[in-house]
Amino acid sequence: MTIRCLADVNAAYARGAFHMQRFQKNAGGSHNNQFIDTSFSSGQPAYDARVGVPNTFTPAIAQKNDAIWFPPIGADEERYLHKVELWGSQATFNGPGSVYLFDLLGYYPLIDGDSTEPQVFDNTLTLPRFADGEGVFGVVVNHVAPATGHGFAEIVMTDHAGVQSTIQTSIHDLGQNLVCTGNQTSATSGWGGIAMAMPPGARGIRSIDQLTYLTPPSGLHCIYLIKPLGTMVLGDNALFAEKDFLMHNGWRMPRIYDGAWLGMFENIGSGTSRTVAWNGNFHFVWG
Amino acid sequence: MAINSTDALVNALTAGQTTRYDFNKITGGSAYAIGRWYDMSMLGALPIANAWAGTALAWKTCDEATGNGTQIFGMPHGGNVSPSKKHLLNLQAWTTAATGVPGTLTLVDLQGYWPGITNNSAVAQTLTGTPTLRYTNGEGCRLYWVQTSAAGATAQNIALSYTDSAGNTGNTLPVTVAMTASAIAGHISHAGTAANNYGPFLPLASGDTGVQNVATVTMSAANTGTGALCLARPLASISLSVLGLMTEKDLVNQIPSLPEIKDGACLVWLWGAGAATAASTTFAGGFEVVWG
Repeated sequence: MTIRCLADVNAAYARGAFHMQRFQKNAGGSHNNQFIDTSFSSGQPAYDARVGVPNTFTPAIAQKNDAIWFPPIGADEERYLHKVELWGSQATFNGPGSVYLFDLLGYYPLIDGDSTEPQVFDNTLTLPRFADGEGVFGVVVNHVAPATGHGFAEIVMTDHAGVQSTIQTSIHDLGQNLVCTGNQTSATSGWGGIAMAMPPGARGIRSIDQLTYLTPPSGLHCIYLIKPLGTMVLGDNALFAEKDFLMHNGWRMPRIYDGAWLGMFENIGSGTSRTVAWNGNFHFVWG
Repeated sequence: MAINSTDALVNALTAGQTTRYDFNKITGGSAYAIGRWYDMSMLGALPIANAWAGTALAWKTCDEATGNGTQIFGMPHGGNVSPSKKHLLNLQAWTTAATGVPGTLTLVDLQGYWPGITNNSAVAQTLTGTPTLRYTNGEGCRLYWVQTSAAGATAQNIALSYTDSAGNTGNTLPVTVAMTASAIAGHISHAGTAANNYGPFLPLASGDTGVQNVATVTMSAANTGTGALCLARPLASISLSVLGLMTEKDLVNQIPSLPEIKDGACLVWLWGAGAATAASTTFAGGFEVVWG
């Protein structure tokens, strides 16, 4: 049976078709009103530097507990994220802040920030979920080696309709492990957004095909392809934050497909880094 | 199946009749002033900027798929779904600049605009073309003037002759409406804190609830600069209050809930600055829609 009405949700809970999965992410890197990927913190799920073969699409398919784990379901069932809870391990919550939840579909690691030559990306492997790219966004993250300046890149991508186009966007120098998606038309600062530029009319990205730095930022960068799942807002110190997607997100529980690699970008609203561990639970329901 | 119950909403969502779009906009090289409203369609990044293509004084229809025919600048929302109806479900937004809060983002469905109207005239400028609107007779549609190139320092008032949603022609603004001297590009020039400022939308004559056409625009004095007169249907607003803290809005549990997104809607943001907003300030976020 599938979940198609409120009674189905309650029935799923009644028959035990739900799971609560805990997580803990230890203190993260320095960031001040910028988004950081919690995968760059130790804990459970474990640290993940998003490395692999340079410029090669690396599909993200959750295995065991390398991401937030959820149980397998029957072929005729659908799984949803019902609720997320999050709190700090100490009174200093480092909040308030914002969390952006996503299904990491894959990434292009170790993009050379010193090269001004065209870097052709390998798309032998394709999106493991949302195959046409509808609703899939790109996010640029500076990983492994820090940038030394703002960059400006020309990027060739294929959109959700299969149309290949070229865009130009800045790549911001914010710090290692931070989201540095640009929104400027030159190599200047302008941080804070998550989703990278797309061609006019594009409703998503199927693949990134080539990147050429017009102004190289140095360091190494990774472009994620993500499917946004939702957001949640954190309260003040030591305050347990809860996002019930059914009740507080217009009844829209994000669907969680088999293999979904669940990740979080976090942005604390005070201080310059998260100095305490975050704990929490993901609640899944299926039917 | 129309969404007319919570169960129908859950059914539509779990059946996959939903999509999300994230936006990422950055203000230009000029600071925004407290109490004023600004058009964000002409800001760059995601989606691309509106450059106000079109022939001076001639109506230009805007939609999701083609934008203004030159720039596809509206935020995509998944294409046409008729005979189903699409609804706005959730909003999220944030800014990362201390001067970006407080403030209000208002989402509108831009029906179109008359571009290339000069500020440098003190006689009636006749607008051409008949608007093709997504709302019958322009019900609920409102007007605002976007300064598309900076205005000069001469004070001026704006006057209109418009057709209301009931079909009455020759309606005029009910009050004196002052434009802002030296308004920057992007400023909704009549919106601010000065005497006779109104915003973000131009006031309508008593009893009017919408606009379907505009015949003339007349400035009280010649100034320099150029603008576009926009006709849009307001859909929803979301306020930003705390630096770095995302604001979320669930549009089911408010009245009226689930604003309809018409086929072809050209979705753009207007920004009401509650603080002096520094140049190059990022505003980002997303929205979700559902149809059934």
